[in-house]
Amino acid sequence: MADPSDDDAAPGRTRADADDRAGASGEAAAAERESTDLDALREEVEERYDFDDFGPADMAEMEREEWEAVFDPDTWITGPELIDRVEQDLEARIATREVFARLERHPGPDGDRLLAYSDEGYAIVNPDGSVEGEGTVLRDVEPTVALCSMEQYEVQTPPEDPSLPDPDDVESGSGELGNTMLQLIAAAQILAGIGLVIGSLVWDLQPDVPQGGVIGPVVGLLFVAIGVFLFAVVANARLSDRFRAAEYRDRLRAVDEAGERPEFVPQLSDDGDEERSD
Amino acid sequence: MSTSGSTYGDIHRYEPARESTAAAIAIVLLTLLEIVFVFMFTWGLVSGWGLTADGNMFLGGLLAVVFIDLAFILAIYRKEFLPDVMVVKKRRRKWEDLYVRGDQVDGEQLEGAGIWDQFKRAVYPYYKR
Repeated sequence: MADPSDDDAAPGRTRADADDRAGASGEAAAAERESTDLDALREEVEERYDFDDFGPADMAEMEREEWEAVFDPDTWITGPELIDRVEQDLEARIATREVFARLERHPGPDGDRLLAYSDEGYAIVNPDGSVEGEGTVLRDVEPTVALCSMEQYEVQTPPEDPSLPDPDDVESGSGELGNTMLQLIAAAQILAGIGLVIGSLVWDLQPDVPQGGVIGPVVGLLFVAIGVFLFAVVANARLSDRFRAAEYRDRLRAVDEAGERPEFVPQLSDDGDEERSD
Repeated sequence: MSTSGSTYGDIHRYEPARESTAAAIAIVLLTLLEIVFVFMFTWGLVSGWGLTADGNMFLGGLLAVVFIDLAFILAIYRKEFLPDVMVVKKRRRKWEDLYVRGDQVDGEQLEGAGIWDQFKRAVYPYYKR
């Protein structure tokens, strides 16, 4: 499974735990015996499972010790390199507006950590590849971490200024030309429709049919209906555009209130703030 | 920003409309065509073009062109003249949420069952195993 955010199988932690255990025992003999045990278990596991054709069912069957014995942490990118890659990729995604978050980098006891937060959620990426947090930000950040821990994934290059837009730069009322054109068409359709209905009342448009014309009024009413529909489309577009732009501005302001983080975001350190506040 | 604790409907991305020059030219031209054709159809129907066989076909063609033109105008409008908005939505269940794993996508194969047997099972699901 390619899920480095899974706590049980966090790539870096596995190696760190093994080192701790070996170091704590102190005696070389104990370390020796432990490593032979580990080797034996590793061989056993490699015999039992076919790693060329390894599926979730095999994964579920495996014990945790077995998993740790055969897990090769070098398969995944971890540590500072992972953080660099995730930072770069997230910046690119924020710049293309795929992820709605502000990104900060904080020094921690075991390497830098990334903090991404918005007005309603946050995510903290640790150097060992584990992610904690809540809300949509967490949902958006997790796949990025998983991808960046794989060597095959090419990280996107972020543009010059990879941050959320300034609330004052969000302009509503774009696409006015399209609205004007639709209104022109709608007016023409309604005029023509009314003309058709009146015309079919005044003149006998189908003299061969004794009951009188039916095409004229039907097409006329259809044209009027199209015109009304187009006017409704334009009115809806204008209203929802104004409304959505205002909502977006509010949300941007909520994230970026004078460079302060929302209350629920854990305070990692303060120096990350100055580095990135804009 | 959400007001009720739920994040559904939060604006995730708001990009102003693209409004490329080509699209602007196209929508103006198509609009002019649309107006011309609509009034041409109206004028033709009222002045009795449809009473001859050819004129009737011509009127039908005009009506078709009116609608096709309108379809293109709406397509351009939607693509180039509306802002790009993404909102937070509830994630609906997908087939992969139904506990189907990657190695189970083919389902259970019937061992040694002939084609006639499979047919009977397809027709009658309660056929004895």
